Amino acid sequence: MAVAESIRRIDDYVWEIGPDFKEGMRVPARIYASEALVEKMEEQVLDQLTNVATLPGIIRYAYCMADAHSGYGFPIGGVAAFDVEKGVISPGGIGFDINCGMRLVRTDLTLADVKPKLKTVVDALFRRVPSGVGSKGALKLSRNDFRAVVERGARWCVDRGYGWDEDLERTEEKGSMGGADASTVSDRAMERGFKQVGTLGSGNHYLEIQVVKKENIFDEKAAEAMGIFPGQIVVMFHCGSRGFGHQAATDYLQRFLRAMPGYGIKIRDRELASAPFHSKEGQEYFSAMKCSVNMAFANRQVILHSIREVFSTVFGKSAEELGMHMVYDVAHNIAKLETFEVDGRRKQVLVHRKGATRAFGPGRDEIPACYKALGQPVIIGGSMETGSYLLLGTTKAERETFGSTAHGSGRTMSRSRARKMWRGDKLRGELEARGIYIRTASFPGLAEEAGGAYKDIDQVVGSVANAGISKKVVRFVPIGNVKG
Amino acid sequence: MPYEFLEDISRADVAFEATADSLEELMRDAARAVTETQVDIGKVQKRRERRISVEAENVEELLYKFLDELIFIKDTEQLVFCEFDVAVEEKAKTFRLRCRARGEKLHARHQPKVDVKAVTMHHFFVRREGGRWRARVVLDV
Repeated sequence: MAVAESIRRIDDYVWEIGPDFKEGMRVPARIYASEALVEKMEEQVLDQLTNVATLPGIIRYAYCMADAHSGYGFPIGGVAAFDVEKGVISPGGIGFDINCGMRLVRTDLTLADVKPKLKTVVDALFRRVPSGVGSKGALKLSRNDFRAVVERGARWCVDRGYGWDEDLERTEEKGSMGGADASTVSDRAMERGFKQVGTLGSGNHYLEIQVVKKENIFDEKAAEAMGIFPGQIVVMFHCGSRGFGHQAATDYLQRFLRAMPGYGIKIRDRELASAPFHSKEGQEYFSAMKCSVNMAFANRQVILHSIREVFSTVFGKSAEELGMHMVYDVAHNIAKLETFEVDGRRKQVLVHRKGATRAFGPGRDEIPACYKALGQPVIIGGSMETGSYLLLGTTKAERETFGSTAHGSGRTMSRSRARKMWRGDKLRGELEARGIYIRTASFPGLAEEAGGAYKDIDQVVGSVANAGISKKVVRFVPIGNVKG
Repeated sequence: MPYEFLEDISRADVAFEATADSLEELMRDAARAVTETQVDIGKVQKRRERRISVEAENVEELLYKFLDELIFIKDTEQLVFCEFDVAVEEKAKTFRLRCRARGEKLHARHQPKVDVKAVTMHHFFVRREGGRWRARVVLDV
């Protein structure tokens, strides 16, 4: 049966594939996207999504968001919640880059202040924040220090002067996920990660200087409450847990594959390797995942510190004087225990988000006091050419998608195809002519990240906003980019 | 062609297929593809030699562990390799791979492309077909 024929419209932005589509589906699959995006969605995404629907203990639906593209195991843009007692945990539902996420920093600077010094500041950021293949060395840590980093996350960094206390308040999980026991992580993962705190990495990881245009503010009141104003410069960056998280995921994927037959779990794809959440393997992976989550929060915390120092040097004022407050930090590759209303009862479930962002509405305990009346900030990274968004989560998202929304643009073509279509050096020149100054560790890598290789961010955000699972606050336009 | 990059296996990642007459050549070619994913392999010089040894219960696990080791060495020692002398032996249901890899420390002159994060199990296989060895690998980048 062709997938396209099996997709049923629920409303303009919600689509469903019934459980009769594939043998073993325990729940239907739901897609949150406009008709145009659903039509263009790869068949492989829908195949992967319906595979997720076969996993034991899955609750309500297997979801994918408007930015979905094919991954391995789960699609990127996938969300699935599992019963804590009867359900599984799956590294493939989180991804190798555990707690890959976005952080947004505001400033009091305007475009007029930054434009004359744009190249100086981008060049300085490129020098200060290591990026590219095998990048290392932003912070010299002993192995013991690194153990503390993975157990305490951004808290460890702030305690040592890499940031402000308020940064932690504005980070998902307050920058430090409890229950992270470093003994559940292999020496190999520790060895891979301990020189990488404060580094950007490569691929789709970037650090961007963006501008707020008056016409791109959709919710003035919310924008003002979040410290956003017309003409303002903000800094957004995207990176994760580096080699540490990648190795932890690699180790546990292999361990789960060996353990699964013992638990009688049947899967349709080895990348969906799963273990019962309460099994020894499940709990140890959950702890190792939390260590990786903390490594990523620490990584972004040290990068934030580097950004503040660079701006302070270039503009001759302290970061405090420049108003460089963090707006928020979101994780988009993670599994978390969260409470939702399920079948009329409040229930704790294990939500996997892989290339999807938490999007809680106003009032939730997890949201910092400064945003409690607004809802949780959601940071959506676009391609380096097209812009990015700040959204807010909604109560509807809590009701419908286990408090989840999209995470970015989503690719429309493979990396090798993008490299055939664009040349990195030429692209850099074209973007500079359009007012976007780029420094990159890799020109071929730059070509792979060309705006044309991604879905239209406005369509993606329009879909989740129209579906009511997020609210638009502001769209940011890039003027400077450090690409890993 | 010993290995070929595939376009439509996974949009965000890098996929390749290698074919070879022997298991040793297959391992060598897959290792070269991992280097080529990250840098221009033609620009890597043979300044250092590093011995690599992995053991596994089957040939798939052997390739997986070998490539994982190369990624580990890239992150921990910043070494990338352009030449691989590979020997594989099977003894008492255990496959052992020994490799002398030659290359050097990562450098901007290698024209870096993209960091490989992990070897995935997505569409991953090593099999013998019509007298030749064939492997498919998707790398998370």
